[in-house]
Amino acid sequence: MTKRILFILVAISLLPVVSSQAGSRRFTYVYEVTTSPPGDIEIENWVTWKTRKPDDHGSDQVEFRHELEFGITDKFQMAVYVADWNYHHGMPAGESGLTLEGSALELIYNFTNPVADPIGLSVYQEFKAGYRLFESESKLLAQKNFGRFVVAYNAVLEAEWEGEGLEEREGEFQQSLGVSYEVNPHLLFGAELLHEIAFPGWSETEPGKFLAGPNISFRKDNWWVTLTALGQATNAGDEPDLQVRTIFGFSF
Amino acid sequence: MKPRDFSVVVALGLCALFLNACESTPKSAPPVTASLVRAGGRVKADAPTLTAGRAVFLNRCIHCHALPNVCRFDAPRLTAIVAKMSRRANLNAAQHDALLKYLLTVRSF
Repeated sequence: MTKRILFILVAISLLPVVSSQAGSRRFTYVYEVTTSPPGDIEIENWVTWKTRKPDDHGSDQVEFRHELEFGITDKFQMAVYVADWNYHHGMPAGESGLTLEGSALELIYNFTNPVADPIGLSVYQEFKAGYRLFESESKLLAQKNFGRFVVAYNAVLEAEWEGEGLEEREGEFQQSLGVSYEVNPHLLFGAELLHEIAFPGWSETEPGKFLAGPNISFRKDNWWVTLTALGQATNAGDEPDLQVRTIFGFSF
Repeated sequence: MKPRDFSVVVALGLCALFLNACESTPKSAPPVTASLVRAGGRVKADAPTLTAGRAVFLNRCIHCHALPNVCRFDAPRLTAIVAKMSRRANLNAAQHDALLKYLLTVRSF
């Protein structure tokens, strides 16, 4: 029954994105600075597979996000992550099943253009809430386009409150870097790198984690798909050794 | 590589890239100068139209692809490409007209 439900939900998640314009993404972990034009509405479906942690070789988790994005002004966009949920298998408790994590609100404001200005800059803020969970994520987005090359950098500070009464607190600082090359208007290759440092209870600092891997983006007519595979270069026990993210987009 | 070293490498690499990217007036999207406005007269484009067209080119076209060197295309081919791209980008008539006039002006500039 669980597998049947999972199959249906995965099939639904793989449905094409609905968009009034092809706002295709070059990266799946790194955000670009450009925002949706005013009046545009776009839906994105994300699927992230995480597997094999050093502390738990049998772990498997597939995460899903469903985003509804609105262009408000030339510089400002808002998005609602309708549902963040996952299917997990092989967790330490031996349980498998589905978990609904929560919903989120995202705001992005663009300051400068990555082509016309020396550097493109935007700020990002996300609030996520779920069962005994509240998260705040703030990002500085930077990008520069060099002809067919695009380089994007994000600096992220995340604060998380969990548990009954939200008394458990944790922070995380993350840097991410993406490089993409447009082979032709239909095909792009690139790479993404992540560097994460967790602050449990805001009183400790865990060793940093480093992940890196290639990405590929394909777009044709009114649809696109971008895939990134990241491998863990460090040996953090609670971090998956391999994670693969795919974002699907489609425009009418 | 230690995380701190990674941060330093990333920061230095980005500085090098950005310092080399001081070209804030890319050849594919030149700014609207007095000489460009004079050239725009051939397609009956005034300064506000060229400025609007450049804004569309810089803010909408880069969503999907690198900005092309429009000098590669003759006027009829460029007009057909802009028509197709405008539909894909959901540009309104005014945006399409401004974009086309800007690109035709840049092409002949």
